[in-house]
Amino acid sequence: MVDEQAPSEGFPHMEPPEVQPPKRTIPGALGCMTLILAALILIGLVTLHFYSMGNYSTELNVDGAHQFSGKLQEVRKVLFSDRYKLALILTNNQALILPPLPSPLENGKPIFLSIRPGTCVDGDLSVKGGFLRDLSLNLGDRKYHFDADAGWLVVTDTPVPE
Amino acid sequence: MYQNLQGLPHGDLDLSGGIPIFELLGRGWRVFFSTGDIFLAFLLTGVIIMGSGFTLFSGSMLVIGPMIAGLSYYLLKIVRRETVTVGRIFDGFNLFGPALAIFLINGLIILGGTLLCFVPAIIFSIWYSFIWYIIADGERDIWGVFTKSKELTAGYRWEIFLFMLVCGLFNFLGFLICGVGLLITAPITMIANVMLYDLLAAHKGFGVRNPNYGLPDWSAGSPLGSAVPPSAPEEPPSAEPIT
Repeated sequence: MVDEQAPSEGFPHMEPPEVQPPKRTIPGALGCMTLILAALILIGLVTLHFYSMGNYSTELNVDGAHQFSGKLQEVRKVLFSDRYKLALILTNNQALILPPLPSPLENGKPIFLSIRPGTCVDGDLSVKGGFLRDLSLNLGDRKYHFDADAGWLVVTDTPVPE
Repeated sequence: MYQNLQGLPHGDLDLSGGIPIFELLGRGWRVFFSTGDIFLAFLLTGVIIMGSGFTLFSGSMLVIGPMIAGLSYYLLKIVRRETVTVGRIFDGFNLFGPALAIFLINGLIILGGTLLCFVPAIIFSIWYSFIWYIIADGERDIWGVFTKSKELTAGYRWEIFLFMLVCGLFNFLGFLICGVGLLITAPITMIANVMLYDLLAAHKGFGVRNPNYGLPDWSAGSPLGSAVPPSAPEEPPSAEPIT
């Protein structure tokens, strides 16, 4: 400490700066925690979205045409998206999961949601540059065609043979 | 357009007119959003690196090298449209020694460059921007990884610098979204970097995309710099039944 009565020579007279009490500590911490929590929730939601989007059969990424035939096991919805993955059991009992696709609509409702497990599914898809180019799908007695640029182009009702 | 990249997401790009920076980022964006697994692989890598740092003193230092090597291996397979699962990001631990050594040597080189007024650090980071993909592609000689990366960047260094700047700005934009956006922008820029690596290797005739590449483990020899010519393009199957 500097003696106030000391002569002016030597060290100058120094006053310690006045320490202000911290202001709004609790609201600040709460704000930080809320931000961190919001970021964690956002990470969780994004993770769920990408988790539900992944895990399709990557052998379908190879350029060329691929044919498939089997029965529908289940329709998996991609979370926070209008896309669906069709999980099939092929005729040789192997599993095949198509890449995430938007569903064709009927009366404003996605058709993929109304298909029952066990429905016969066959079709073919073509891949160009590593990405899905188009897909023809026969679902039960109906035929659909998907183009990567134009979306669902042709929806034809095939007449059921009597 | 390079024959040994045909059928890949970046197969129609060409480096004759320079590096198509924004096209690469666009392709990276498309690849990233074509599957959810890339995000999960990136998140898992980040969590393991950070988690090891919290649980073990210098733990991150031990883990970063193998994890980045594993992630690079995984991304190379994704970009080359080969079948791969997220679990393969741990394959980097099969190469623990070389991956750790490369991480430490690269860190020391960049640190040295930073101490020399930062500019050398930028030059070194351009030279050695492809080391992880070269080790993932089969190179096992530690110094060979560095020399081959430097060789690969020759003639394109200013453009790679520009590419890194654009990627940095893109990642900064991702960071502004609560930091969460970085989880999306960072993998996209990594995928673009993988594509650039493939394009540079194809452009210089290194033939990195070896037909023997898809081996189940990391025991493959070095295709880079060896006498392996660029692989002949595979004829796409006209109609491949998978029933």
